[in-house]
Amino acid sequence: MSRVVFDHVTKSFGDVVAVADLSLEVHDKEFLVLLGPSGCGKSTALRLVAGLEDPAEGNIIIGDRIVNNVEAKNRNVAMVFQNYALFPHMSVYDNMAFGLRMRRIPRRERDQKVLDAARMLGLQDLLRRRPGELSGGQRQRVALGRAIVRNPSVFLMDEPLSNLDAKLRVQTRRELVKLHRQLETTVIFVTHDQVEAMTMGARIAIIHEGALQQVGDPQEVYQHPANLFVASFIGSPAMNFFHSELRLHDDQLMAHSSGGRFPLSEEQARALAVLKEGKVIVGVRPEHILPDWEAEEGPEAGLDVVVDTVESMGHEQHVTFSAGDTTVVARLDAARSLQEGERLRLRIDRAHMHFFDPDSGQRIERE
Amino acid sequence: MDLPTARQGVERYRRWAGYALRYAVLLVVAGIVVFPIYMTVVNSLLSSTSIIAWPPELFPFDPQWDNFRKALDEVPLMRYMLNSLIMAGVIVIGQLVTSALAAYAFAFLRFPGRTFLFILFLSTLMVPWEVSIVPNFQTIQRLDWLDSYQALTVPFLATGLGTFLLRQHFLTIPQELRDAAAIDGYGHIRFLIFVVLPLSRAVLAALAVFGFLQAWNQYLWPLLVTNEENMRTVQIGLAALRGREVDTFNITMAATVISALPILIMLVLFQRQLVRGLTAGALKG
Repeated sequence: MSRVVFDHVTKSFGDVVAVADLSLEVHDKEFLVLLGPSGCGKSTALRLVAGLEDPAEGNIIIGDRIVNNVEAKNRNVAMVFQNYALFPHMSVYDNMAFGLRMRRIPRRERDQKVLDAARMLGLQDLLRRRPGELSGGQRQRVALGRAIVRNPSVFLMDEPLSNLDAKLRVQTRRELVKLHRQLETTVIFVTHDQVEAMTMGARIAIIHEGALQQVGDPQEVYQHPANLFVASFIGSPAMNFFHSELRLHDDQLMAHSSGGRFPLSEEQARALAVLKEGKVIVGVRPEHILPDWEAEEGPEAGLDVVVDTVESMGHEQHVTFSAGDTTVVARLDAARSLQEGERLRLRIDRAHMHFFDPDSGQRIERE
Repeated sequence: MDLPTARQGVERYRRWAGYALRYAVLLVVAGIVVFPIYMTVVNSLLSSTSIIAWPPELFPFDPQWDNFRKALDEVPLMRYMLNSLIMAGVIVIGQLVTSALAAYAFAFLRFPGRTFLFILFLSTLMVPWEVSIVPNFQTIQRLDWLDSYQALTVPFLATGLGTFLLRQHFLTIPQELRDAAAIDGYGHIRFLIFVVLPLSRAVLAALAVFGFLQAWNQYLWPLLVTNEENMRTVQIGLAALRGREVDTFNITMAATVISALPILIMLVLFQRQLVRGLTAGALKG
C-alpha cells in the first residue's frame, strides 16, 4: 500500500502561505499530476511528502502511516528534480548507486540494481561518464535511474521535463508513462504545463495560491471545470468569458453580455436560478464557437464579428476578434482560410456553455 | 582567393607589432619580479670575497655549493623548518576544518541569528591581527603554552576569511543536491564530506595554499611565543642569521634558498591541482 494522503495540510513561509488546508488522496499506484502556475505551492506540497519540509498543520500519510515526524530517508520515497540534482563529481554509476551505498546494500546486489535500472533506461554504456558529459535527456534519465534503483513506494517528480527541449519532452513524456506502468508505483508529478498534465495524469489536481481547486481525470477537469481559475488555466487557447446579465425576452431567458446574447435552455435556466443578482459569467471554449458554414440553424447564440487576427496551425486556425469589451478566440477548422478584417457570423454551441458565479467564481451546474 | 593586398600586409605588421610590444612589457615585469629571487640564488652560491665585490657579480661562475652545508651547520635549519612545517601544516588543516564546518552552517542550515553571526565573522576581517597580539599573548602565557606548538598554532586555527570564501562557494551548490542527498539518507556531515567538499576542491586548495604561505612567513608571533632554540621557526632562524658580518651574507642567502624550497615545491605541486580544479569548475554545468 503506498497511497499518499494530505490531510488538511498547511505550510507557510513567513507571511506567504504556500499550501493552504490541502486535503487530497493519491491512490496506490496512481499517476497523479499536481498542476498549477509557478509559485502556487505545488512544489511545496511535493517537498512535504518527501520530508524536505514539515507541515505547520495537518498530516501527511504514506500508506497507513502518518509520516509528519518521519525523516525523509525513512519514508521510502524518491524524488526527481527539475535540474536533475546529479552530483557533478561522480560517475553515472556512482550517482545511481548513491542512495544504495547509504543503505549498506552489498556490492553485488548494488551493481545488479544499478545495471538493471541502467538497462531499463538505456544508460548501460554511459555508467562511467560524468553528468557533465551527458546530454540533457541522458541526465534526466540518470536522475530517474537514481530514483528507480531505490525501489521506492512513491515517486515524486518536480517538473522533471521542463529543462528538456520540446521534442525530447514529448518523447520522455511517453517513456515516463510507460515506466510508470512497468514499475507499478505511486507517482506524484508536479508541473505547470497543462499539456503534460492532460497527457500523463490519470488524475489531475489543480492548485492555485496554495489551495486545491479541483481533482479529477483530464476529461473531467476539461469538461467540467470547478471554477473560473480551472476553466481559464486548462485549455489552450484559453476559455472565453462573457460577463453577462440574465434577462427575459419573450419567455426566453437570455444571458446578455456586451459581446452578444446567449439564449439559455430550460435546464440551464433552472440551474441559474440559484443566482440572486442575475449576473453570470458565461464561459465558452474556443472549439465551441462554430463558423456559420458548419453550424446548423438552431436556437444558438449568434455573433457577428470582424476578424482581428488569424493564427494558422495547419490543421486549424485560431481566430481572434472582439465581441463587446472582450477579446474572443475561436478555434475553427482550416477548411476556409480567413482574412483579417473579414466579416464573419459565428454560433456558440449552447450545449457546451459553462456558467460561473461572478462573486464566488464557482461553477454553476444542475445537480 | 584574393592576393594579399597592401592593407592586409599593414594589418599583419600591426598585429605582429602589438604582440611584440605586449611581450616586451611582460618580459620587463617578469624581470622585475624574478630578479630579486635570481639574485638570492646567485648570492647563495658566491664565495665570501666575491659577495662583497663591486660591481656585484651577476652569475656564480665558481658556485660554492659548500655554502648550503655551512648554512645547515651554523644553525639548526632543519629543526626550524620542521617546526615551521608542523606549524603551517596544523594551521592549514585546522583552518580548512573549521572554515568548512562554519561555512556549511552559513550556507546550508537555517538557524536564528545566522545573518548576525555571519556579519560577526566578517567583522573579524576588519580587525588587524596586531590589535589582538597582546591579549593573545597574555592568554598563551596564562595557559603556560609558551615554547609549544599550541602557542604557534591555536590562535590561527579559525579564519573569518576562509569561512567567507567557502561560504560563497557553497552557496553556488544547488539546494537540490542537498535535498537529493537528504532523501537518500545522507546527513549533513556525510553530505559535506561526499558532495560539498569534493565540489569545492579548487577553493579548498586555494585556501590551503594561502593559509600555508601566511603561516610559513609569520614572524612576529613566533618570535613572541618561542624562546627556546628548538621551538624556533625558520623565519626567526633566518633573521638571526641576517644580523651578522657582511661577508657571511652568502650563508644567509643559502639558508634563505633552503627555507624557500618547501613553498616552491608546494606551489609547483598545487599549481596543477589549482588549475585543474578551476577549469573543472568552469566547464561544469
